[in-house]
Amino acid sequence: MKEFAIQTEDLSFSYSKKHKILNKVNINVPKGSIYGFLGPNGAGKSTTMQLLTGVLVSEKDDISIFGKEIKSQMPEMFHKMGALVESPSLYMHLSAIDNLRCVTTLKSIDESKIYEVLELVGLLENGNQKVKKFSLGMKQRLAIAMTLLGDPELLLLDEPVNGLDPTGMTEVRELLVNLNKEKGITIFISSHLLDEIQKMCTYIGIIHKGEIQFEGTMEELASRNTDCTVLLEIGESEKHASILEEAYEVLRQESENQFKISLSSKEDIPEVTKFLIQNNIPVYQLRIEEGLENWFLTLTK
Amino acid sequence: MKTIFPYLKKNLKLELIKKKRSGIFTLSIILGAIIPLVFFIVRLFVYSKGIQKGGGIPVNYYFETLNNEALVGFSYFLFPILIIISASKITQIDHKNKGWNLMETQPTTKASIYFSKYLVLLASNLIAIVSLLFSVVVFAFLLSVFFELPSYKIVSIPFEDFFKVGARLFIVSLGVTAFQYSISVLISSFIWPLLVGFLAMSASTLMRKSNLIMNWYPFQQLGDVSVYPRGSDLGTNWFTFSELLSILYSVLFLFIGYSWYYHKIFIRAFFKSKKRSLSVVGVVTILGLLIYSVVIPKQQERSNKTVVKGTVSGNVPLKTFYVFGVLAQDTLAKIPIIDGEFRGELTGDLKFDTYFIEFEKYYGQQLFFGKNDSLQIDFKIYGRQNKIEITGTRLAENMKIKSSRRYSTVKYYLDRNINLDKDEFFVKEILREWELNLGEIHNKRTVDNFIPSDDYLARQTKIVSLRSLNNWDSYKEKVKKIFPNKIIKDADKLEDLENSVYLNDADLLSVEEYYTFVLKKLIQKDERIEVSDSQKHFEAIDKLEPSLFKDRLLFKHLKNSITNAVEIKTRDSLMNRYLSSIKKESYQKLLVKELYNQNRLTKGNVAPDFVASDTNGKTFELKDFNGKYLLIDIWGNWCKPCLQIAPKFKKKALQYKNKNIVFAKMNFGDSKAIWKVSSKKKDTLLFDLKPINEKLFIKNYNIKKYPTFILIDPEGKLISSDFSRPDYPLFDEILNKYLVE
Repeated sequence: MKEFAIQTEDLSFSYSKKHKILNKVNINVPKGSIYGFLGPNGAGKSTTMQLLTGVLVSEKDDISIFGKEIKSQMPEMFHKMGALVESPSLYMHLSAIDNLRCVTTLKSIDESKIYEVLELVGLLENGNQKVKKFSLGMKQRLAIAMTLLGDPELLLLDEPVNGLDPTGMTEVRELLVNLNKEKGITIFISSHLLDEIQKMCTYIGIIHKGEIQFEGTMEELASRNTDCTVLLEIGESEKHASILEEAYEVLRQESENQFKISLSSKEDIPEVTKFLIQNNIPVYQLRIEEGLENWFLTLTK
Repeated sequence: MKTIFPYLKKNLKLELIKKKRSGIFTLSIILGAIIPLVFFIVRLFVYSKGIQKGGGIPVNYYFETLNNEALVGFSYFLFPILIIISASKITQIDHKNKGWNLMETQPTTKASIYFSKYLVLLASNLIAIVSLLFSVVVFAFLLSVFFELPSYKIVSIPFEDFFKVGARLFIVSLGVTAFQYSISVLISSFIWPLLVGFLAMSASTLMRKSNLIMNWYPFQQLGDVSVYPRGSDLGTNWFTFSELLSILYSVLFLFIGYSWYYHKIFIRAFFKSKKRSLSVVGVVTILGLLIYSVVIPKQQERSNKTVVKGTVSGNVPLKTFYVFGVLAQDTLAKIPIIDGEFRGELTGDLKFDTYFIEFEKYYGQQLFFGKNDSLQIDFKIYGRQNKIEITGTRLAENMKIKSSRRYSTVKYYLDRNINLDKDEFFVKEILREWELNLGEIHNKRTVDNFIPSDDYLARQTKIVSLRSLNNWDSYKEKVKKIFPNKIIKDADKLEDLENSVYLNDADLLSVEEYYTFVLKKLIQKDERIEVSDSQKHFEAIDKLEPSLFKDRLLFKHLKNSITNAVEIKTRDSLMNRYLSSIKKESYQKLLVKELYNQNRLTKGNVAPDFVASDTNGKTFELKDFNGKYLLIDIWGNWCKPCLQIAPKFKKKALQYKNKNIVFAKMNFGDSKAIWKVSSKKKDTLLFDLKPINEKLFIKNYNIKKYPTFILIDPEGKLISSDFSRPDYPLFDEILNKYLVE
């Protein structure tokens, strides 16, 4: 049987009686996975994060971490778990080392570990610098470093790449994937960017308006979307548009020369090229539009 | 329950890392030391111009410095400001940096996160208090090294007193800190908790002007530490109800604050489940009841004996302590002072009333007490400085009203004939003053939260009403004279007041307002024009049924009349006519004695002889001054009014240098040494004398107050044994009338 790092059972939460923030949310995060918790802003991601970490207290015993109910393990479970609930939670007036020292104090860890994690996130040289002077990427890395103190088995990260530039995103992503691979750390990431999740997660849970819309592996998600949308850029579109429309189902004309057409599967693409050549239609671009993205967009519209 | 201490220790360590560069403890040190420093600089300037020497009541130099200079500003202003700012600072560290989430996702408990910060704040308070006390000592010590202080200042560090003040400040700060901390945690914005705090802080100052009682108000209680630096006046311990209240407040505020913080949302914290609602309601109710039971003012218990005791210290040898009745000025108790201590039990049915207590001629004041009261009177007298402290079972009653409003706007309008045509305006003003005066009595609170007893309240309420009624009567009289045709509507409220005062209250006759009121009411319906008011009064009193009331009223009226009468003939006829109507024998005796003294000292009678010596030891008798008018100033170095008037007396001596009059100062109560030092400067204008037998002089001339002026004519006959004071505007006019004759 699969072991789960996090499980919730019909987790519900509301600030007032009328407005439910979470409604019967079931999350199952397998051990050793990178779990992407996806949803648009306001879907209930942060509230879920706060509940999973006990920052908000759930009334019922509906959350278990490491297979045990959360309340019974508070606050000791944080020895095995690193969390970044609102990013970044850093003391701007302190140096990076002092920030890490805050965590080592609470976790009762030797201070030498501070340099290990600083090296891991590539901030060893900036240790004595005030965090105020850090770039956003550095702050984010430091925040992750703080969660890594004490060799956690589980990381909970709320939007860890939010606001980073592409290089920063890649850096963080690589760091997390490495941690997962090398140390076997289970990572739970929340994000509103599908692209980001797709790039590193093995499992995914999608939440919208406080309810789980999908949960499963990336493959399961992909197989749900067998439809294939192709973006086509052609020349002399006035002349050829009607021919194209007759042969294929045009979803949308994106611009003067760009069309989106729907195919039943990827395998149909060579057929399309053939058709275009045969009809003497000049092709400038032919690209597969992400099917998942569309699905996600429709879901959250 | 998991023990909180290891977590608390971790969190405290964490807070110490985090507060780096926030200046939290530094601010405590600065705010504690700033007032002593400022006063130190001021004192340097003042003292370098010379220190006033001279005697005084011994005081501890350090405690006095703390009390007079640093404590008020600190406890009312800087300390609350420190609490507000520090609470904001320490919570802002985590609000700004989202540190709450960081800490809550670490292996520590929310309780230790919450309470570790509160503990840091308490440490900050403690540092400020220590800084205050320490800098007071250091700066005061430096001054005592640089300058020679007056000898009455005792320069030794009063560790115990300082500890008490510090401990009280700290404990009273618990409640305020809990309040301020709770809102600073809940409100993440930087400005709102500060605003709320400053508003709450200034509210106590603003409210003080109204009649609201604020002794329960946490910020006011901080200030009260400086009002009562010695703490409780019950004598058993120095803790007051403020400290107890502060502890209860802190439990309440921390309970609410922590529950709210724990669940983040008010509704979830207090009303999510029935169980939680019940426990919250339970805790709040219990704390509320406890707070209520402390806040609600108490009345003191009587004892089972009437005891007046106390201590006397100083450099004036006092032998006797007196208690007099106010109405008859009869001696109720004469208690010997032995080795600086006295104790006397008063027997008999002592009414609740004001009595006059006296330390010989040096000090006297009115005091409210009655049967089964136990009073402790501690009196210090050093030269002309004296200080009295009265504790015991009548704390609230004998407490001085701080913002005593001696000034009456109604009297002001009446004296200056302003707005006399507006009777509605007068009614309004009179009632407004009535309410204010009543408020003052009912708002009396001692440091231990005692209010006056019901008997006192009832009596003072009557007096306040009487004052208003007398003003109203004066107004009506004035209007009658100035606008004879004006009809004045009687106000219902004032009639109610009038009905609340009975016209046969024997106990109240010691109060001047009541006496005036009763006399007015007695002759109100007497329309005769040919008969004087005084005559009408006597007739009306005489018609009353025999009673204690009648006795006392007649006694008082007769005594006033014979004192005011100028001629022996008038006095004798009044006495002959009315003395027998008084049933109480002691009153009769007192009146006879008074009559004797008054007659004896009537103008034209031979002045009693005396022997007095000047500073060189040369003796004088009355007859040595024959052929000249003689104006004697009865005075003493211990008597402040005497000293105030002395320059005036001298000026007059200069003014009348070439006239047929001699000015003489007659010293009483000082030792020869003190007297001689005080009259070092040779004065040819004045005789500076001291009677050989002071007691005899006082008895012969019936001297009742200091200063007194006696004028004797060239034949050695009395002109007045209580002549006009030289600072009286008509002094010259009156004196010249005799000199010309």
